[in-house]
Amino acid sequence: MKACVEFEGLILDRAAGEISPEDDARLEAHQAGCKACRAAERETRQALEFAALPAPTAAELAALDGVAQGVRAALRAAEHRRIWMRGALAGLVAAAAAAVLFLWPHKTPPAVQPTPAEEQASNAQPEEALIGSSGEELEIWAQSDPFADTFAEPIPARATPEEGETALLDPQTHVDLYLNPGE
Amino acid sequence: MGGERIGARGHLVPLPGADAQASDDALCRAFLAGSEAPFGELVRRHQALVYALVRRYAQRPEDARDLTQRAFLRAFEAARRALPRLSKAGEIPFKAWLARIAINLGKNHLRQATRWRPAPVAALESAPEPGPSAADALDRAEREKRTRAAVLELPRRQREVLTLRIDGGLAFAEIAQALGITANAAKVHFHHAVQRLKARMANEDAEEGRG
Repeated sequence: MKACVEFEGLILDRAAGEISPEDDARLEAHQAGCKACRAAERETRQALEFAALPAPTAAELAALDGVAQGVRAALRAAEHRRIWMRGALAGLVAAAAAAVLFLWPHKTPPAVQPTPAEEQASNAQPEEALIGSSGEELEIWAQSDPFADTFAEPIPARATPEEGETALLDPQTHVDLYLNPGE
Repeated sequence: MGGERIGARGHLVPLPGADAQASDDALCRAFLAGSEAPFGELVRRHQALVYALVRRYAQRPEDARDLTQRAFLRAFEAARRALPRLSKAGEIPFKAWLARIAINLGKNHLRQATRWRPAPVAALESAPEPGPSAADALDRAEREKRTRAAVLELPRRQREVLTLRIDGGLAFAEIAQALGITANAAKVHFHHAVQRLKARMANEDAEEGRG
């Protein structure tokens, strides 16, 4: 039976158990004189009653006691799985990074061009620093055989030159003798 | 807050005695922060609701129990994922998530089990009770079975609202939160669902020469 349009919503609210006391009183007053609205409420209640499931049995409710335990176990398993996956993923990433570093073609870094300031500073270094730190080493080098392989056997230094050696020790005479050995 | 302590990760962890009074949000946050005690309270608080929602779709009570566990598992996983995104003021709508997850799981379960007859839990439980008239009881059982089958054939939103209301006993505001709609829209869907069921029942009554 069709309910009055303005009371349809209130009938449903009451059947669903969500009606305010004021609306409930208003509907009650209306239904006292409206057979259609009384029948509509009866049909609505019956439809909801038939649609509802029966209450769970005691056995079903008892079985719910194990739900918490089951969920906890499943959550722990999921957590362990997540940790394992994270570890495996980290290992894979590390291995991939190592492989990339190993296989990546190595390039020599470009030579660094000295700045003008650095070049100037380099030129300003004393000559002793380029060859050796002491003047004695320079002297030994100057007296060494230019065709000798090594610098390991220096000419022993003598306090006073022997006769005839004085000319050899003069640099200009030494060069002349070297260029014109027959003279 | 008197019923809470600071947990290892700086979150508020309710004390065991305070669990029963704590909100779902507080319990959920405490559990995700590493406290075990609130977990049992959360499950105990909502397991009947979840079971009531999924048993309409389950073939056997064991299936319903399994679906209940899965619903909790998914809700906790969802909370774990959502927690970093939620501000401290933002509440975890744990009950709404659970309800939504439960009906989705139930619906998927039913879809996968199409070779079975739907709602056998209801069928098992609706055996006529001995009464003054066995014929009346049988007739009623038959009508209940048909009406429950009709519920599963309702349009999705109408079915969701109706089952959350009559199986889960949720208020329209809670249904609205679970489904992401307004309370008014939930009422409208409920109204349409009931009208459809009534119309179907009236047709069947007319076909059988009842009423």
